[in-house]
Amino acid sequence: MRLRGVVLVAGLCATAAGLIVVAVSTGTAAISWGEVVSTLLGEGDERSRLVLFELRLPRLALALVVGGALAAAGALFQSMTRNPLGSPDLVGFTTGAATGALAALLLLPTAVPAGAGAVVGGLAVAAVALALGGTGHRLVLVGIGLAALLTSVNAYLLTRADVTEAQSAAVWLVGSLNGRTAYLPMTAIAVAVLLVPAALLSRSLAVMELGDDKADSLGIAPARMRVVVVVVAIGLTAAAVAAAGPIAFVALAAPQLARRAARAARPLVLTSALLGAVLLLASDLLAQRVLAPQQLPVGAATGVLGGVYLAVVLALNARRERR
Amino acid sequence: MTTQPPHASGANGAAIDLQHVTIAYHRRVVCDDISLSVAAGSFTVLVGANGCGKSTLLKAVAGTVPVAAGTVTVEGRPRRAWGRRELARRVGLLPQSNVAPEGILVRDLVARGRHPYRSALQRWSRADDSAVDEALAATGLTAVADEAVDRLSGGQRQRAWLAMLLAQRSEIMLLDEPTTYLDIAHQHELLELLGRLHAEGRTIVAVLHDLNQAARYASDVLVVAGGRVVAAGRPAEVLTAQVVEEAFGVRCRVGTDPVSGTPVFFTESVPGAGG
Repeated sequence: MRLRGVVLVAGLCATAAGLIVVAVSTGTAAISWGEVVSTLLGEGDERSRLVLFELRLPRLALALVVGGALAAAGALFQSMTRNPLGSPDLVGFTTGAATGALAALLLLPTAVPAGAGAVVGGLAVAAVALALGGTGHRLVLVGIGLAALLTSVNAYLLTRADVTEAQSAAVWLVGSLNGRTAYLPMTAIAVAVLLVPAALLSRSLAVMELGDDKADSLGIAPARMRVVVVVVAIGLTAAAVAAAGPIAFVALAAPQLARRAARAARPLVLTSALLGAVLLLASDLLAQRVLAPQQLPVGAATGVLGGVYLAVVLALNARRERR
Repeated sequence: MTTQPPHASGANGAAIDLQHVTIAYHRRVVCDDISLSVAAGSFTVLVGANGCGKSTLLKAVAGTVPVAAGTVTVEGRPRRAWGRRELARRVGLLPQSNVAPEGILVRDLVARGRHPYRSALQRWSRADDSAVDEALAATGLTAVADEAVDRLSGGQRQRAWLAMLLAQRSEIMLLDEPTTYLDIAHQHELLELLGRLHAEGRTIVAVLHDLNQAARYASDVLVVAGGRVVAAGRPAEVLTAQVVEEAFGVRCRVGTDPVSGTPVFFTESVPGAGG
């Protein structure tokens, strides 16, 4: 890894550590620094233990895991489509996963887990998008169309559900970490397992970015490789969506920010995951603390950040083209 | 360059051999029952009208398009019997148009040519490093190795792609219109470079549009028309006014290149062009 990449990773780790300290020591329940440290060392009182081990730590861990999963999936998809807009949240995979999860929550018997619905929904959208759009730009355009279609399906599903169910589903659809920590163990295991193939794929993806003919002549089977990439990336997306809902823009922005910051011309799957984790934890802290005691869903915060990001990227591109 | 391994070739000395090959692409037959042979160590140039299947033939050899019927043999062994990476170590392909990832450095682009030698977990080795350094030196890009490919001139950029092929260390190099987007100075520079690589012992198969360049640089010429080979052999014997008219539908006169003594072509008339 080049020096810039190493500095970036070190900086991200330091930022993550700082954010963890803030997340652990601040919040509506006032717990002093000393109490935090002693509780972590196993000496705190009942109340501090509850707040730290049942609320703050699981929530920050979930933010890190979900942010990392979304960003890694984004890095895989953007590289595969050779398009910075080819991230799962823009091309309908995240929406499809949400549709699947909603269907599992609202229509199917409770024994069907939302995660299974999310995987099926995401894969179904991917299959349709790949069949209709192939790869590259067309896949992105077809995916954007599918995303619009599925957004209305999601709205329809909400109207069919009873009021309380629809209410909680609507919050989940924005993307929220409120009260979702029961999903932490499952999500953490799924993401940890999927990050291994995701990281191993990055070298082949770097070659595939040169085009199918070039990849093929360098010993890669592009069509087969795309299926593997889609399955791994949908798995990561579905794990994140099942836990926290379709949180917007982390998958879009994190891989691009990582690539630009490291000045790398290849997909940085693990660095993107780290950046996504930091991004989502920061967004969640912002959403929780800025309007406290009001709890903003984290998806609303990432939506705002992402909108600003997209506008800046497009403006910079426009300026570069004018030169 | 360091010493080259001896040519591996089939019984008839062919690096590449196609027998009755039919290739269908998107349900359209592009090559129908084509047979040809490329001698090991030759600089073979494919010429022919647009859309007659030259690019497809190269891709069929490199293994990037499936063959519907017939056999493709590389170094005496059927293409099917080659493993993907194994074939990539012997045969390299430079497609017609290439897009480098945004911001990639020359050295990093060239390094991607090492892919067939590396498994997913293998670290970058000293052998990889020296292959890249040699490729950069052979193409005269050492000085710009740490610059972004988007900043290079058209000629340098094409040489960077060629360097990637050299880093791949493939004995057989397939080049699809390598000179198309270059000005004449850069065209000749690239062809001279290919000539040197040929002299070092590589087998080079290139699609070229300029018949005069084909006559000057090729050791062998294959004239393709209508999905089949209409003439094959030494350029001076094959490239005649008659063959050119058959392949391109253009009547022309043949002169002699005052520099190299090879044939040069002057178009006379194109049927249907009102002349």
